[in-house]
Amino acid sequence: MFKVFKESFKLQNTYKTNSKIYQLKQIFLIKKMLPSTLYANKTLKKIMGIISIITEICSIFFGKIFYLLLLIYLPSAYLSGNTSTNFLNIFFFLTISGALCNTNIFNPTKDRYYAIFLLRMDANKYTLVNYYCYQFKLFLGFTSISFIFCRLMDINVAISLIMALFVISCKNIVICYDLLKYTKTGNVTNENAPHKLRWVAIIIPLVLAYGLPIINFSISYNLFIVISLITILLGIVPFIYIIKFKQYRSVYKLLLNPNDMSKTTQDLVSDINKTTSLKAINNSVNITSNKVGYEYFNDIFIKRHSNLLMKQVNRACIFFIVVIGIIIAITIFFPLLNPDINSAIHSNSPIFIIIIYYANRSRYIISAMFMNCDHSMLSYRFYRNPDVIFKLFIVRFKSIVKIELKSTLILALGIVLLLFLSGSTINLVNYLLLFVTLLTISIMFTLHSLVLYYLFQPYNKNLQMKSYIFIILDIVTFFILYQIAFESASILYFSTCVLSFSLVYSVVAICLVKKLAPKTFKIRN
Amino acid sequence: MQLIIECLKKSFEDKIVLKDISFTFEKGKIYGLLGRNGAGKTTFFNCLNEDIKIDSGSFTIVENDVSRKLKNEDIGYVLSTPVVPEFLTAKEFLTFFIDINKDKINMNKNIDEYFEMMRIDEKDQNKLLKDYSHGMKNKMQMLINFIANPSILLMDEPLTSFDVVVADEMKKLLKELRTDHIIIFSTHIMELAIDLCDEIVILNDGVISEIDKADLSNDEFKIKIINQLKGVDNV
Repeated sequence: MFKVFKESFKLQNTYKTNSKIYQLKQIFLIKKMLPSTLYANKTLKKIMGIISIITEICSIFFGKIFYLLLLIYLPSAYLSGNTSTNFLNIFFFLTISGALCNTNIFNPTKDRYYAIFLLRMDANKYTLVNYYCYQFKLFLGFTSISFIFCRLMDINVAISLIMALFVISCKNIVICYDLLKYTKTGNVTNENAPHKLRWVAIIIPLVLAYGLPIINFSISYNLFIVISLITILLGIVPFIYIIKFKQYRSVYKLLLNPNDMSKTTQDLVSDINKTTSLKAINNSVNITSNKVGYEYFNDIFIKRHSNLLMKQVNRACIFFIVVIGIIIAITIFFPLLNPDINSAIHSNSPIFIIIIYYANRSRYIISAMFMNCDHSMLSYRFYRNPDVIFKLFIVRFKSIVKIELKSTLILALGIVLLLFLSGSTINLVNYLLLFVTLLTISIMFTLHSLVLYYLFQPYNKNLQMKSYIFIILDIVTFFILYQIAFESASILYFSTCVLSFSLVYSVVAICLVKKLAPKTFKIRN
Repeated sequence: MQLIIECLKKSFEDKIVLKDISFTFEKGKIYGLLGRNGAGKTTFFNCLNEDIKIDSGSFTIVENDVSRKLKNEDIGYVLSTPVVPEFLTAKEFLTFFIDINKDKINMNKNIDEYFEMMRIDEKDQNKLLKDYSHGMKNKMQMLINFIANPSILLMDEPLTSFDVVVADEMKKLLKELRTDHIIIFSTHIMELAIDLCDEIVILNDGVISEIDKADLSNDEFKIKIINQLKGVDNV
């Protein structure tokens, strides 16, 4: 057993050390200075090894400090009633929830896969050694940290020992149940993917943990001790069952899928991105188009993604109809408020910038365009032809504008109507100006999103976002819009600014796309 | 026609993948590109296809004694992991492709004949490409490149995902195509390379070199290739 412990420790430590070096190599700016031979550097490995051991030791205590302080002590003190009783109540029920979703044995980790299947270590011994370590860490962490909290709340410090043993016993009972379930049904529990019933079993104690103190019904100090001691005694038999269980290899054969184990976290994220984006495609093959060439290509794309694209726009439409409908009702039934509404439209029209920004879904449409279209098409050289890039840019721009204008039209008509109902305007041109300006803002957001995409295409072939500039520009755009939105301006002034800016921006942006996109619109490395 | 590569260099951070490649590929030949895992075969193809930026070097086409730069339409690239627009059916993809390239391609078959050539039946033609298997996607990717008819075809392990019948037909097709093309074909299957290719070039240590078969038997030639890949002098 000690040999297995030594090997297991060595393996996990190597794994953690290399992970630390890998993390170091991911740091922006530093990564370029670090050589690829870093993993061979013995001194660095020793330092990282020591750091990972220290981290491990710290996690025994710090994890428990955060858990007991943030999730238990602070809510106990905040809720009405006795803090110590609340504390024990929350601890009791959270432990049950925790045991149901965090057992260690049913956690499909990569190091377990490497040890059992790649390095062919004895599955039973490996599992038990790791479980003993896990229990030891739990015991040490909970006894010492809950000791401090018990002192803090004037509870008998012997309770800290009961608390630690209660946690361990609950986990033993749950593990034993899951192992028995496996021997009877052949089904293995994956604690990272609980089924529906397990979710219910996790959520009920969670609700009781915080719900009972809210209604002043926390379990009493004595009841906690009695139930905990019974659980501890009951936990002995399951613990023996866990030790005697001999089929851990078969359990892990089902739990540890080699396809998942061979993937990095980034791969898994890419898989999720890919699966989600593929789900957005309408499977109907009856969708057709009368258009030709790139118009045909884009039209089929839009139609096959209509569920995704229109759902978002329709939501915005419904939102605008409801909100504007309510305000119209106010203008009719509460005419006293009309001057305020009228004045707000007259002097606070910049606020529509931020409203339209939120309603504009072009960023999501463009993301789908990459995931389900450009990601594959950019590997064909004809698709990277400068003329093709620009032609498709224009085709896409028109089609996204058409989609987006649906909701903006509702907003623009609604605002113009509101202006009229709330007391009209001195200058009748304001109606037209406001209407045109709101539509222009929507068109500009679409253009801006598309221009950013063509000039800073941010994704790599694994569908990961790789451009910091793209993210920064997106944030900066939002920040500027936010600043403008809360400025006061007359309709005439606001419209003049928007329309002139839009004209200049459109010309510059389109020229930049024409000139630079052939170089920038490609899959990132 | 010749494709002349001069002084091609490519590094990733501190790792030099392509050291200083100078090589001339000629029309009418299938080149079997062999290299050990991680030797840089895909990087070499990506450089030629301008998928990644090269550090230095040039690609020139020499045709009828006239030199010019390599252009987009000169190259067709069949990737080892096929990529096709998954929101289209195979028929829609082919229709679109033919439509946008009608001025450039010489259509000697109709759409149905092209599908027949790749053994894609009618039911599959009307299926979304997202529901295609790896091998079927690969067929579509190859078909697109065959129709586009570029003078240089880069193929990154293209036959491994095909069933034996289709793989055999593809081999015949490639042999027919070589007359008017430069075909560079990377594979790890040496038998396939020796059987299909006119020249064997190896990418070793960041450099491309041709291996002369001379009068060697296939078995002797294999040993020679392996020794070259190992970096051992010929025994």
